[in-house]
Amino acid sequence: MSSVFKALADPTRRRILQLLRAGPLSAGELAAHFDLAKPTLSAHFAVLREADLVHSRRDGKQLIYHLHLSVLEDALLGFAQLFGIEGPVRTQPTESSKPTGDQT
Amino acid sequence: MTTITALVASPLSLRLTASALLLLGLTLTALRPEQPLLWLTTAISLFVGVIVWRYARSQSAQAAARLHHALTLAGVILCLALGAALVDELRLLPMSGEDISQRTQALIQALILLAYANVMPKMASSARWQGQLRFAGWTLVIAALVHAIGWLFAPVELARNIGIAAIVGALLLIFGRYLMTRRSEEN
Repeated sequence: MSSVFKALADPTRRRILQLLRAGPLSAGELAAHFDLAKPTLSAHFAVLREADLVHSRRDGKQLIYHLHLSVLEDALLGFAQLFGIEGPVRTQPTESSKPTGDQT
Repeated sequence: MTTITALVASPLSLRLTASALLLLGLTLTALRPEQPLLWLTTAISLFVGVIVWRYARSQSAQAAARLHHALTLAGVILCLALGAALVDELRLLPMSGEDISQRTQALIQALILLAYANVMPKMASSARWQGQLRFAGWTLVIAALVHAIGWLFAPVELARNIGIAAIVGALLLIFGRYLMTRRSEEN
């Protein structure tokens, strides 16, 4: 559960989850919504995957992400959005969430 | 959660649950000799389940593990219901006049529904089902909470009606949404 809280504490990751609510998106399509370096975004995807909040499948050269939230996780995401719960905003990936080399 | 799963999966858990069920049933029969069917039917069901489990064990390890898990959980639920009936019989709580056994069973049902409804959106295999299962999960979680709150605070008759209305209403909503989505996809 702590991995879920860690994942939801970051506004970028919450924004990714919000975007995925509309339907599955490729890593490239998601990246278009952010002004972040590819390794940073890959680290965010890795944290979300580790918390089992998103699933990814390979479609040719692309990685397609889709939402994998339980009702409780969905509610936590809503609360985090509503009350603006935030962990420290990082511009670089942390040691524990190194990039995984996602292709866009 | 991992500890609970490990406990349920342990080979001793089914034997312990069955023993507890037997003990509780015998105690209740001694206290309420006019109602032997109260636990006899459930004990027979569990016994039949154990026979099926032993048969499944000789066929497939995976099926046997799943049956073991289900039987242990069923046994635990029955034990809780019989335990509540015993508490009611022995007047151990000030609210013994109320039907504690019935309330406990309804709360267990609400908890099970809550647990399944919570993970329902995770079962989506495609984008088409993601929205449907998300809606179904949320609707059933709310229905289970209404059901639980009803059985916690309302008089038994009213709680029963609230519970039924919540669950049936939720199922109708889910089915209605599914039909509407299907119709809009066809047009």
